[in-house]
Amino acid sequence: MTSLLCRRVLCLVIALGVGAAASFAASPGLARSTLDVIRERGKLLAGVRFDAPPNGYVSPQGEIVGFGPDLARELARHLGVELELVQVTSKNRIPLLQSGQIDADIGTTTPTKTRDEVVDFSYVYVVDPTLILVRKGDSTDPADYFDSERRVGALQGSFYVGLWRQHSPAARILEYQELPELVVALAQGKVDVVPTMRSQAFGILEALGERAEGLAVGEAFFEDVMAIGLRENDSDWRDWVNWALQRLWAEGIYQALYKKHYRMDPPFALGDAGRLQPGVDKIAQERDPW
Amino acid sequence: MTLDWHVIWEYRSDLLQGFVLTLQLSLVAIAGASLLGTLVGCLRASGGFLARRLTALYVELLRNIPIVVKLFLAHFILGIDALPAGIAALILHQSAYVADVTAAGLRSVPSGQADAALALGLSRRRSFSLVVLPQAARAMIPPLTTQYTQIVKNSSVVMLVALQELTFMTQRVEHETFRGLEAATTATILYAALALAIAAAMASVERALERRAA
Repeated sequence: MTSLLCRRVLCLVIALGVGAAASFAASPGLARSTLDVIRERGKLLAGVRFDAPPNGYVSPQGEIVGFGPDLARELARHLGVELELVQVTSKNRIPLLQSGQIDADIGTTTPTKTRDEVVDFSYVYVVDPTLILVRKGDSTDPADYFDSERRVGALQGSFYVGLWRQHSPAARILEYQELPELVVALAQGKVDVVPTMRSQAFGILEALGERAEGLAVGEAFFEDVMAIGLRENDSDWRDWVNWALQRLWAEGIYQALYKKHYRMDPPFALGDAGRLQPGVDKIAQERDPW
Repeated sequence: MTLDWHVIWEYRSDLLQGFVLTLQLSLVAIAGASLLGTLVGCLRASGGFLARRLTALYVELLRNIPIVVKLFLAHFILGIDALPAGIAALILHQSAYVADVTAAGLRSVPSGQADAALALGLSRRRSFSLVVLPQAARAMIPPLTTQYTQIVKNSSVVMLVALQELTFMTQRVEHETFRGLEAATTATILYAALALAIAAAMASVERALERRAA
């Protein structure tokens, strides 16, 4: 028994040693722009959501659809490369971006200071009000839930945890791993309110169908903005993505896709202070494929 | 890639809180699984026809249902609160394996031992508790150590019902700081420390049993 214990300790020490050595090994920095890598690879690796309609989801026919995937198709088309859609979640989107397994996170990521310290963001490309999901018959005013007695449900790692704490620092927040458990927790009274984006709230009710009878959509209390996540300090790629968004906007394609999926015109104007950059519709150099 | 270990210091209270909950869950589940599993194992090894069949069904059913399913049944279907549901799922899940270990340990004791005890005038109960069980216990220690370590690892399943144990807190560090390697390394050390403590405790129990038998 004692020798077994010693063997276990030795294995642990070796494992930690290997891990430490690997952590200090020099890893190659970002030598080339992602734009050049994509063109050389001949493929755009676009991270999209498979579980967040209408931004990104799997249709009943098994196709990956939504605003994010459609935007990715436009970007790949103008880059002249193939497209591979890679599933991202709230948990893995940043690590996938940092490790190069995706070139862009075209999902539902809200730019925050903490995230901006490790990745970069494009222009805001989606604006989705944040409202509350409650049980039918309960108050639909978010202010009625900003007290410490109410139990708030949210997904671990989501933006809404920090957002709710800004309104209610002493709130009791139960953080679930997946959306279905969160919705069931609300329906069963394990939580009293779930802050979520408007499009997701209506998507949940639509998916539940008749079973959504006990739930209600409350009022909005915040406007959630989302941007495309890109690797840190890759200005050539970030510039191209921002130009691409503006050019799609100038051509009217952006607005058509937004309306198709969000069922409303974009409630914002793309670009710096809502204005497109002068000359953005002109193809300037060879390194700027369009 | 440069590491930033000071984030672990910043989140020390969260990680400690998570570790304490993991420790509490593990200890309660170890005690519960041991009691329940030993009872079922004894019935399985020594009981009558009906007891052996029922306990065999118990073991097969609980071993083949994933612990996540047990947890969801307890919390979302039966409506049990998160913490009791988590403890119940851990106990039920591991008790099946403990029952198997117990039954195997009891069967490993030669039947002549029980016969000799009875021949010396000991009652059935005393021959079991004074002769058979101590010998079986020495054989059970190593596989039980493995089962108890499994409980520690399985305890992370409770984060699915929003309980903030060690793995949950590790993920919080990663989500908020993107220092996944530092967070995972810290969790590894803490889980390993807990597992090694269990192994050391069981080694002590084994030595005590051996001294008593000598």
